[in-house]
Amino acid sequence: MLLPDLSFLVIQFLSGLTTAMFLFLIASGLSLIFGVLRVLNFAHGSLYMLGAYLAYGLVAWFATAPGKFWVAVLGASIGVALIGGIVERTLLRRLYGREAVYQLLFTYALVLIISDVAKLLWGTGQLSVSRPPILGGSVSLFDQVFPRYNIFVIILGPAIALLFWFVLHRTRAGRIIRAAALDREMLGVLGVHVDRLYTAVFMIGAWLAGLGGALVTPVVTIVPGMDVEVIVNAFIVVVIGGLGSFWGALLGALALGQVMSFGILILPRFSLVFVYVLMAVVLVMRPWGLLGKPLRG
Amino acid sequence: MILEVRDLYTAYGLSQVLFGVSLSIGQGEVVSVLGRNGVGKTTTLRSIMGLARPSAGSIRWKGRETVGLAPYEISRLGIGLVPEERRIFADLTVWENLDVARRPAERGEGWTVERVSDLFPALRDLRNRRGGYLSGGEQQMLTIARTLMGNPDLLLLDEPSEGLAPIVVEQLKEQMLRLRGEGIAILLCEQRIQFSLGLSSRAYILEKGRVCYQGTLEELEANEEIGRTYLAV
Repeated sequence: MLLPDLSFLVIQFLSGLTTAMFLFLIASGLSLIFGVLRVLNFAHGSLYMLGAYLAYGLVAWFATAPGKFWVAVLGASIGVALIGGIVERTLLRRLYGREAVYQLLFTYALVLIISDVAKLLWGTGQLSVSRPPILGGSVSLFDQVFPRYNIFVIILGPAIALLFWFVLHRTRAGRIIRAAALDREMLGVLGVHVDRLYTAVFMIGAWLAGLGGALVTPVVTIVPGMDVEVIVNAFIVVVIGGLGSFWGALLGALALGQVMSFGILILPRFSLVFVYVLMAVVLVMRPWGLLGKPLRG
Repeated sequence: MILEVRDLYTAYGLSQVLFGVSLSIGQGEVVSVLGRNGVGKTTTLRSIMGLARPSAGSIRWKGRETVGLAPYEISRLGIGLVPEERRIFADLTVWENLDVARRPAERGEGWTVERVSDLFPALRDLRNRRGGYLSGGEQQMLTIARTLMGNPDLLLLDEPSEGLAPIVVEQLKEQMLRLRGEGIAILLCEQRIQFSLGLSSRAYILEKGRVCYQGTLEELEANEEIGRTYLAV
């Protein structure tokens, strides 16, 4: 095997970084919901898929309006947050006192329902959304080209991570969310309406998934099945990084993005092997993930 | 009386813990509930706070029935629980623990981080320390201070002297006397009588989920037989 030249490696690194940013958006929401609500949301990938389909629908709706892509991204992510809020309030809430297996079954049922609803509304074909004009085209880097839109994603990812960190650590709402993850009963005794907080946290997680789904539309085709693909990857990210850990989600996403990007160079047909090897190594060394904590109780 | 508990029956699953507990506290009064481990002191406090659902009986707070309300609602009505296990948010700093519990007072100036730090000066130097890295005494101060941040009119204290060094216990008692001076009512649960002496006026003794004795602290102190029979020494 010839050693590829440096510029090619840089491009490959950057596309791994792009993948990582989408993975981070999904996994951070999944991790946040688990950390606070202690619910492993199987349907998180479905919320991501809904974000993609809603963005497609909104772009078609606003076909002639300028800035339609951005309106669609905003509308789709907020729409997914609202759907998440309704699901949490009306359905998921009834299962908190039960064993975890009921919650798993419920969120898995949601996967099936959302998947069929999406097929009913948007069919089974491949849909695509074009890049917003302002981010169209490519830039050249070391004699190679790299899409401008991907650069935007690579910048946006850390920006959202920073915003996320700021909210969790520098605002009172964030401190209350962190306290809820540690001891929800005590927080209620201190006068916080924890039920409402749970709805808000689920909506934030759903918003992140919807945002990821909406932003990914110019990069991948929208197809049924993207929900399951992404939830598997998101689970790998949180297994590597540690479920419930914010920095873990970022680290896991960065690791998985690069492994996927470079794995394909080494063993094109078996690139997934590297992903599972990485996950297995982490599970053996630190079953609770690189930055996670062993589960209490 | 601001709090009146009548004939309270509470069970955890199939095991009945309280068999008709009745007690009352006046405005600004400090009342002790004494008894050995497992007689129902904690369950009484958890029932008042709404954390355990009584199967029978009534709890009236300022004339209003509170059985069936959620803990956050009871907290907002002015009752604050300081649990025996302290339950500090271990990953949050001392300041963050206090900030999370902050709720504006309905009248008067209310408690602030500044004011609770005056009451517990040790907390001032620890404000950026994580809750999980505090000593037992520091945690006890923080958990009381945290509850005060919600401006309660009644403090439910569950065995605050448990596991603390004698000198820390003395200091804590001084601080509780200052709280009493602020006009906050305190319901104090203890296994021994020592912490209550000089702090509370009246006491109830619990035995097997019932009140088996009530009287003033002086009467109780004079009656050695009751102490031997029902209290830890």
